[in-house]
Amino acid sequence: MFDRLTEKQREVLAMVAENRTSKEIARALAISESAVVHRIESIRRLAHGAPRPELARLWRNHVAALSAKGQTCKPLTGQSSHIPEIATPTDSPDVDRPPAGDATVSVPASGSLLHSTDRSSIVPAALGGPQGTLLRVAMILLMAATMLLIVLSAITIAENLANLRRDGMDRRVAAPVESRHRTHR
Amino acid sequence: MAWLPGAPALALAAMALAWWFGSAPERLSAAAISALLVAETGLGHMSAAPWLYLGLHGLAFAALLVIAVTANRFYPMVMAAGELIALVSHALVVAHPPPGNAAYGLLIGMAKHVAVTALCIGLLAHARRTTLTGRYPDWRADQRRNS
Repeated sequence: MFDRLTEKQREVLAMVAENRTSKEIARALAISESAVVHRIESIRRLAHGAPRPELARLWRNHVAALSAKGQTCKPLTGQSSHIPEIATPTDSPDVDRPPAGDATVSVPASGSLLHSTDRSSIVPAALGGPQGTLLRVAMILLMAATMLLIVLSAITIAENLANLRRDGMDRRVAAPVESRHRTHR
Repeated sequence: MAWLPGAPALALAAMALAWWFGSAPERLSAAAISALLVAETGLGHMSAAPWLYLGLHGLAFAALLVIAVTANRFYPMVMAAGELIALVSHALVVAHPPPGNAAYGLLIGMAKHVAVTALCIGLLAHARRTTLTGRYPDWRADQRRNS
């Protein structure tokens, strides 16, 4: 899939893989935010509509696979390939930034809890780490509790609706009897 | 609870697809659910005691729990969660036999629908990932290192 990407699309995708926002990418490449979004949408179409985090994960896997094979990622050429460091309030320590002027794409060495450190892992890093078993069991219990709550709420609602309907029918049956009593009196 | 309309066909299709196109976790999950459904149908024909159902669901939950804990997938956790509800419901039926309460039937029948839906979604996600990135690990990284 990545072989079919244009240089500009690769440039944007590399920055998406660094967890940069569209605004940050637009500022770094000196283009409009809508152009960035347009390029990302083109890539998404090629990737059968994969969401942005999935694209980032795929690109990182691709780069890691190339590194493992001893190849380097196709260097980005031209002035726009120089990606300056952006100091924004959204910067977090768990997102690695490439060094300034580094035109090749680097694979982040560490990941957050939500982004797996093992590139081949498709579950969040926390579920694959040393506490993974415990967390997975906790997750199963939490999901079971949520499902139970939903079903029990549905049952309660259905029961109340049935009671309301029954009350309405009782009242309809009782009304003609009452009116007959009144006319007799 | 009986199957919803169209659910048995979907279940059969999911099992077949899991066996042909799925990887190890998909095949094992599908095998566990298939065995459970076949055995449950058999017990239904024999009008077996509730504790037999409890044992059956206990075995299915244990199998799904092992897969959920070791697989490099998310959907077995959903399947195990659904099966846990069925297990608890059967335990309640054994402890306090309900006087024809439909709620128990709903809770017990929900598990198979949750399992089949989760398996279908898991299979689709697996097929998509395989198309985009090729083969990827079936099991957790630390499990792979241990084995």
